[in-house]
Amino acid sequence: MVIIMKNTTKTISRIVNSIIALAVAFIALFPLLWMVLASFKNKKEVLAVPLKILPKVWSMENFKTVFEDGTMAYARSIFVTMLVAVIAVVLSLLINMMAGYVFARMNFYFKKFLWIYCIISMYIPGMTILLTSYLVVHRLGMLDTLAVLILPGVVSGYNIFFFRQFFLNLPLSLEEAAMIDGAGRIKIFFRIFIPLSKSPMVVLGAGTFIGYWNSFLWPSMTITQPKYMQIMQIIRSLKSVYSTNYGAIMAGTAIAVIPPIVLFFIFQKHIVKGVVLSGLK
Amino acid sequence: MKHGKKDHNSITNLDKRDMKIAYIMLFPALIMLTIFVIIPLIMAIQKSFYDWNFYVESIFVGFENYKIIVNTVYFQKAVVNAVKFIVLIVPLMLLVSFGFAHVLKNLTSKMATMIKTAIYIPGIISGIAASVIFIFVMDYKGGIINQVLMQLGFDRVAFLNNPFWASVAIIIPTVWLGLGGNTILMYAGLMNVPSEYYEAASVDGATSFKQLIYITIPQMKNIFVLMCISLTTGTLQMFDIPYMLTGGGPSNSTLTPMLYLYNNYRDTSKGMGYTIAGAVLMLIIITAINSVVFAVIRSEKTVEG
Repeated sequence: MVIIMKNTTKTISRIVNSIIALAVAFIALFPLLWMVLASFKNKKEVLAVPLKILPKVWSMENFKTVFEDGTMAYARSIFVTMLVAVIAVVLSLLINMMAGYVFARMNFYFKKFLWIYCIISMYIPGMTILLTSYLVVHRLGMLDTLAVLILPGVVSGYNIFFFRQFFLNLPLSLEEAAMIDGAGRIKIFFRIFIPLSKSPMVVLGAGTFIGYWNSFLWPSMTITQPKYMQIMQIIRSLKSVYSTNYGAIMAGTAIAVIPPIVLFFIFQKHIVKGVVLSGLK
Repeated sequence: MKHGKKDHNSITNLDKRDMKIAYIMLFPALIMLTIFVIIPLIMAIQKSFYDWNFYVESIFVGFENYKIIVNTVYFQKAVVNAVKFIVLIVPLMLLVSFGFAHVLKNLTSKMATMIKTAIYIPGIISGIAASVIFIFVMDYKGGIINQVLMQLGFDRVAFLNNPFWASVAIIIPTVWLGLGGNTILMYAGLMNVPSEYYEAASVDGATSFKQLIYITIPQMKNIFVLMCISLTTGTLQMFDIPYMLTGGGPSNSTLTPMLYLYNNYRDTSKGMGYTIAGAVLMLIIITAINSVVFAVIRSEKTVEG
């Protein structure tokens, strides 16, 4: 009797919790769903009173409006942002991985000092060095270049820390055989360590890509010419360009959130694990 | 006496040959950190003691800039607003993610994974895009929130025109973006609590409330502290959402420190020294808050060792 009752309460609690969970998930996804629906609606439907949930005709008009904006600013910014983010991911993985490897496996003078020098950057808030970073890149003649978008965010103390931790957990026997065979450190790094690092590369690579894709503050200070405008700068200006034409604004925003979401879905298992790892480091 | 210690860190001949390679592999990271983090940091600290702007020679003024910034009404206002947002957002986020982690714990693991994925999606969207979506959702006339409020018999809300509602309008997308990540963390922490503790407690007849107070919360203390710190420092640096939604208004009720500094940076006609002093002050405050994390980690190590 008692066991049956316990089972029933357990089933009921599971059902109640499932309903709550589904409701929260729905609320969390609703703004995105609403944005997508709006991007297919015409001007009258999008802010219609009373509400129109679904568009009468699923129109691609808004997407056309955004992409054919005369100067091609939107399409161009998607391309440039993608280019910047991809180059940044490659550079960032390579450079931070090399540093993590050196700190995990090699011995050299000033190792401790250089280690602190690298990870200290984790604790310096961007807002403190925002203006002086601007002064530095200004003096280096980097304003309105691809380099100013890519380079400043490439090295990350956090990523170095994360890779070092990962390499420390790999067994030493891994490279010993190769070293006896006379392989140098660089060869070992490229031939043995990189192929074994897929999972941290996915977590940090995806994080870096999303960070670059979403960045707004730094581009808004350093890029003023339309040539290199980043997608979030364009999203910011959609409201002033299209005013109350929310269909077009939502179409532009919807396209702009797709790349990070697609990336997330491809690597979701790794990324969710990464969230836990980074939070509990 | 010191020999033992020296041996521990000794550098062998093999290392010496490798050393050059070590420095070469470290070089790109070091040079970029130096240019884009360390030099700007040193410049910021140095310039905070000078009266300067883009067009005028620098004059050393000692701590004068710090005196000016702490007495600047807008900066004070921004700091007070940041504290207000911290007091509202941090407990709200902790409570919601803690509660929702419990909900997830009662689901089958397959469903829990599905829900975690769903609620994490907003977390990868930028603050700028999230703000644009919420501007639309919160539109005074045709926005869905106001239409639902009308249907339920309430008045429309002009979200961005009144100090109270403007703060609410900023908090909603902020929580929306952060909910997934924080819930995943809480859930991981919750699943780390050994289930034997609960079993033993139920045998002793402890109510679920007592289990919460005496088992769950003490066991998850570290996660609470770490999340509290990162939420606090994150909220202190809030920028994208208030910038997009309110621009700091109405009447500076949502002006954040970051927004204040940014607006000053853009105004090149003004002296920059005291703005930089404000930025350095924020560094000091955030470092002080972060040092709590180190204290917790250290105390943990002493307990374990």
